[in-house]
Amino acid sequence: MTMPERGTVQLTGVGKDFEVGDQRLRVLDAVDLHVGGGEAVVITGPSGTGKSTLLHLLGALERPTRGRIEVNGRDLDPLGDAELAEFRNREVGFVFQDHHLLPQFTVLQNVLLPSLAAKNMAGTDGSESAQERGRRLLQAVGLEERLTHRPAQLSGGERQRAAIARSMINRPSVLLCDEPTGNLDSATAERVADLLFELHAANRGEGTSDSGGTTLIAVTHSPQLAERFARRLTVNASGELSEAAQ
Amino acid sequence: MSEILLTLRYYWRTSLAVVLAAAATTAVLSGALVVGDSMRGSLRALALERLGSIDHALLSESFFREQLGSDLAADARFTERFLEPVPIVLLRGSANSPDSRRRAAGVQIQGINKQFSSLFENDVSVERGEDQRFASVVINQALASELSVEVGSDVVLSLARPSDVPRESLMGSTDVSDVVQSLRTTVSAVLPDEGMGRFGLDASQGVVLNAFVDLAVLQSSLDQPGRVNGLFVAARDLVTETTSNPDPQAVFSEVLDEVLLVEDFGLELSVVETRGLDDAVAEAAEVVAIESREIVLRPHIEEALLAWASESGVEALPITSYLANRTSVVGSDGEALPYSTITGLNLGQPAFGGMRWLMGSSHALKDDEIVINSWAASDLDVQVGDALKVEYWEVGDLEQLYPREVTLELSGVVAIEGLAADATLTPPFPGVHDADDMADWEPTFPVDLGLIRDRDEEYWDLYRATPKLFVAPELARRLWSSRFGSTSSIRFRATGTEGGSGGELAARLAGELPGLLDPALAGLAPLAVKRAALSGAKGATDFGGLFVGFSMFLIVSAAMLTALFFRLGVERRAREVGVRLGVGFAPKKVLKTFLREGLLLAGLGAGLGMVLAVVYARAMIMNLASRWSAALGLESNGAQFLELHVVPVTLLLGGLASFLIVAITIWRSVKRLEKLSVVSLLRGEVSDHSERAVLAKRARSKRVLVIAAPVTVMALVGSFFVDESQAAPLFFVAGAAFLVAGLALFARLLQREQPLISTSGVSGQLGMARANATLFAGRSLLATGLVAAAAFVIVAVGAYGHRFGDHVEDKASGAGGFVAMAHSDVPLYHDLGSDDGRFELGFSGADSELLSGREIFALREVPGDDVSCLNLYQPEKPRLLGVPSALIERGGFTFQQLAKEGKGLANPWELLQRDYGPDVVPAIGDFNSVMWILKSGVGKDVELENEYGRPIKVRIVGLLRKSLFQRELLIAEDQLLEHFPSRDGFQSFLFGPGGEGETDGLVDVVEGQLGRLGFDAVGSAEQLQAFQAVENTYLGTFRALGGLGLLLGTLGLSVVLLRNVLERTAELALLRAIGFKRRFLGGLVVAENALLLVCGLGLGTAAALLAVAPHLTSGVAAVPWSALALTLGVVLAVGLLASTMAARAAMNVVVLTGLRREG
Repeated sequence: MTMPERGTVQLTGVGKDFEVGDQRLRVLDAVDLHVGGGEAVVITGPSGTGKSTLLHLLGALERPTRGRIEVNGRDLDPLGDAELAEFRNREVGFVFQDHHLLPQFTVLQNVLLPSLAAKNMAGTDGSESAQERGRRLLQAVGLEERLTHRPAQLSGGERQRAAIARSMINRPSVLLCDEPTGNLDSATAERVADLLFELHAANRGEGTSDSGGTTLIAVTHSPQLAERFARRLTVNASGELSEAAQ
Repeated sequence: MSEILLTLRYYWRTSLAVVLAAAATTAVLSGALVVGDSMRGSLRALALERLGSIDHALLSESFFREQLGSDLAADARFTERFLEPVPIVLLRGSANSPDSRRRAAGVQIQGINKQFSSLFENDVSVERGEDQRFASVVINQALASELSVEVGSDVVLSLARPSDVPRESLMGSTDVSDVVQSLRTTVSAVLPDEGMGRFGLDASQGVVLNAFVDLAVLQSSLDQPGRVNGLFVAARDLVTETTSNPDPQAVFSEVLDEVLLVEDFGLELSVVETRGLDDAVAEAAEVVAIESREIVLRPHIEEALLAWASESGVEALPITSYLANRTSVVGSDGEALPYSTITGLNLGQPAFGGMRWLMGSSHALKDDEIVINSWAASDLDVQVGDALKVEYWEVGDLEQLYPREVTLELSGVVAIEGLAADATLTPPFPGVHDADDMADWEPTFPVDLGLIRDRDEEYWDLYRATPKLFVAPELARRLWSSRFGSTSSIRFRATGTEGGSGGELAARLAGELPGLLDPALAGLAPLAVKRAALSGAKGATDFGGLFVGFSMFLIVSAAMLTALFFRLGVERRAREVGVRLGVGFAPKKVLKTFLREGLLLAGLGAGLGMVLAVVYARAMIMNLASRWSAALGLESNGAQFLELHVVPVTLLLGGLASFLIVAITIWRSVKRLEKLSVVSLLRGEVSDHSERAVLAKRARSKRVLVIAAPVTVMALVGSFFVDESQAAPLFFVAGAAFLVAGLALFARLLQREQPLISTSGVSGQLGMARANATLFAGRSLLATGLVAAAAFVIVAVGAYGHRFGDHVEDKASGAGGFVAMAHSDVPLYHDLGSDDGRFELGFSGADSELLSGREIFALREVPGDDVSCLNLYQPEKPRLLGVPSALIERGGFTFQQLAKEGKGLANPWELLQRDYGPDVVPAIGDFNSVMWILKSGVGKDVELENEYGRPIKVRIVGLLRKSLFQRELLIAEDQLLEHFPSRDGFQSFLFGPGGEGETDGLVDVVEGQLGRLGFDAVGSAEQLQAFQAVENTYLGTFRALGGLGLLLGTLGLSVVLLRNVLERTAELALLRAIGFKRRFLGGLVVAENALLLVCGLGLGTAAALLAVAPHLTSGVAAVPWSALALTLGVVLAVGLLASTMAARAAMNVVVLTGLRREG
């Protein structure tokens, strides 16, 4: 059996229900999806169709009600909470609509947080320290002058860029972005999108010994952002996923 | 208003928390005030209860006519205001039960008639039952319990038998069998310890042991028929006792002055018919003689009488008669004259009878001359010019008789005629004057009856105690004067045509004399006992203020908690504020809305708190009653004494005060919102993280640090340059400043840039915890400060415990090197320190041996109020003890404060012997008693009246540290006798250590032998511990309330933490999203709380230990380390438990919910 490419995501018959009062609400149903390593995929669709839920399932923030999710060929279903946490830490990077930077920490410290969770200050490949990588990432997102600033001292775009840097600190195999530009003006959104793709492209080359790189999966309502993805998926009102026309 | 109600209902949890915290503030503050009211109310109720309807009293050290009461009642001015006076014999003694063989000291024994019980609306009878063998006694329950007796049991009462003649004079009897009177009685009723059963004049909350017997029975037993030592008077209108309008005491005094008789002053007037001389040189005449029942006239009475005589043209002859034990001719081997009366008087006043000179010529005698009568001259076979040696006793302390002698030149011999034949020149010496023969004498002084010859008996048969020897009055006064006086009588004879008969002169004297003498001199000044009792019932300590002080940290904690809850509620609604402002509400209107909400909640809290205050006060009172029951003598009825007294005004004031406190804290919380921008508020931001704000906070904490740190150092350095008494406060300042500096430093740490996270695991958690604490630095500092302050109080107060017992034999200890002290209800006149004295007191050889070789000091006492903290009443007239010169020379104890002039003295006790001017008496007291109970201090005067009713200033010259003398003030014995000459005998005793292993039995031995004198001994360590009981209660209460405050602080801390967790749901969700494990996050929250708790507890403890360092190193510190550790441990545990709960909340944060909530 051959190892799948790094960043490979495989969903088979995945469904998700929510309990709302005494009712059961089916948000996603029978989703089958394969995303290859290093691929960039956007998911669009009307509000309330389960786009974000799908993203959260992919990031192991939630467990599916039905079906099977594999990332890097690893089935997430049997993993316990602690293993899921480790999985998220090592394999997944998140960028949310809100930056969720911790106000008590400096920008650099915020970026380094996931590496602290990894209990290891050395980079995952041992080639550079997390701090050096954090500085490099912040340099890459244009915040090299803001290392010691607090989130409150940054603009909205800067905060989101810091959040992107944080998402990349552990060289995730999957980068999940939930409306990453949703709170930004168009110019800033454009810059943030550029940054995402730049990092995605750069990370492809940074992949481990395995082929592939960081897979980018984003959920957005923004047509401008969606257009920049090579592969676009749509979730309909019934929670079914389909490939959108290119 | 409806909008406010809707809002409060919507945020009902927060609202409820605010109301409860505000209620706690009110409950504690108002409750403390209610404790004060309850204490005052209880003391007042007890004062009224123990006095019944007695408003005034006429009390005397000596007995006076029972008829005086009826004389007063015969005056219309008196009856207009008062009911008929109730006569009483009021004494203190002991009681024992022959059946149970139990004994009680300090028993109030009252001889009463039927009127007395009506003062208490009681109809108890003390008359003997028909089949009863012994007289009836009615006792109270406390005494019944003490003796284990019931109705029908026999009880033997022992009490001091009054003596007209001062027992410490030569003619006074000090024989124990004469000093103590026993009366066997049968219990006819047992009164409950309330109403009449609680009767007592002493301002004390302790249980009184009361025994009531029939007045006539007691009078008969004491040989005082028709005489009493007290009259109780009830006012007709109680209003007069509580308003200043009419002065009933003035009316009482006015009428009393008019009805007093000569005999009420202990004086007896008699008409003496002087004998003329055979050759009619002097005619027989009637003169008036005034004598005292005390044998000698008190100096002030003599002075007044002679002044009256001088002003009234009446000739006066003072006479001093004494006893010469032996009179012999110097240089002769002839027989000596035994036991002769020797009289000092002016021989040059023939108006009083004159003398016929058989040898020598009539002249006024010089100091070195003596004249004898013809019988003595014949007996001694002497000639004028011979030297005669006269031997006599001088009475010293403790009935010691010192043999003295004086050699005088015989300047004449007189016939036994005229004045020289007047047997009444000799006062009626007890045991002597009424004896048929000299051989039958039973004098109060030692006589060798073997010396008495037949010739002496013949003289006795013919002339009785007629003086044989005469000397100059000045010499007699000099040789035989005592503090009781020297003149045995004064004779008056009217001169000129206005003279009249002796009877007329006597009548004139009887009419005018009472007006000449101040009734106070005879101890007959009316006392407004109820007014004094009610005044004292205000208490020596303002318990309201005290408990507010004790509860201060609790009040502050509760108020801060209220503010915290409200602030959290406001912060939670930051977006709402932003929206309101954003949609055009004026900022002031928005703030007003929040303020109204806060005030409404504060009002509700205050209302609820006032109800809870009563519960809180009751708990405090129950706590006090149980802690004090033994120390303050409340054992049998503590619950009855300490009762809840709720004064609505006080409760309302407390409620209003706490409402204002809470309102101010709420106002400050609301005002904070003003500083935030609308945009920040819309983002839900409630802290100003701008650089400007951060810098301002840093500057503020730096300023505090810059001030507090040097204060700490200066106070510590300064403590080395001041004396011990000032060092302790400086250390406390140092400790407090250290605490402030520590908190400022902590604030700076919170405000400092955090270093990069450099590690993982636990240290990573701690690093993050520290960073998290900085997020809400204000909250963190507030919570930590509260915990630190409370820990400071708890440790500082807790560490102040004292240990007694280890060092009592150390002269510098609070016991001064004495292992026991004792008090005797009946004064002792024998030296417990001597074998002879102990023999006289009936000690067996073995028991006497136990006392042998010990330092034993006997101190005289002037009764008064207990000034120790064991007496809850405000003392009006402190008890005084006279320190003998030997004890002054010995020194000992440790002075906490001294007058300037005493600071260089090796033995500061010598200050008691310094002259501070007329009527200024130097005194030493215990620091705590003088400072806190008497509200006085070194260099200040306590104003008292001496025995003559003259004001004296008792000047405090030194204060002892935690000594045995907490109940009284100490003055030199000489000073005591000068101002209170009637105080004879010794009632307080100090016992030094004996040989090894002998100390244990001391108390039992002395109580066993002297129990019937009401001798009550106690070990020094036990006594010191008892004194410490009240302070320990205060410390314990302070510690307990501080602990509650600390718990509230911890609760606040936990709320802060939980709130932080809830506010950081998104953050925690993110941390989980990026891979932090639940356990790590849980540990993070616990670490964050533990960090603040440990910092607070550590800082507070360190500051407290610094503050009490002098005490800890004093050697007498008894620090309840385990209790303190337990208290702090409980707080830490509660804090950690609360943080664990918060941690669980953090661990349960659902990632997406958290992220969505924030997003």
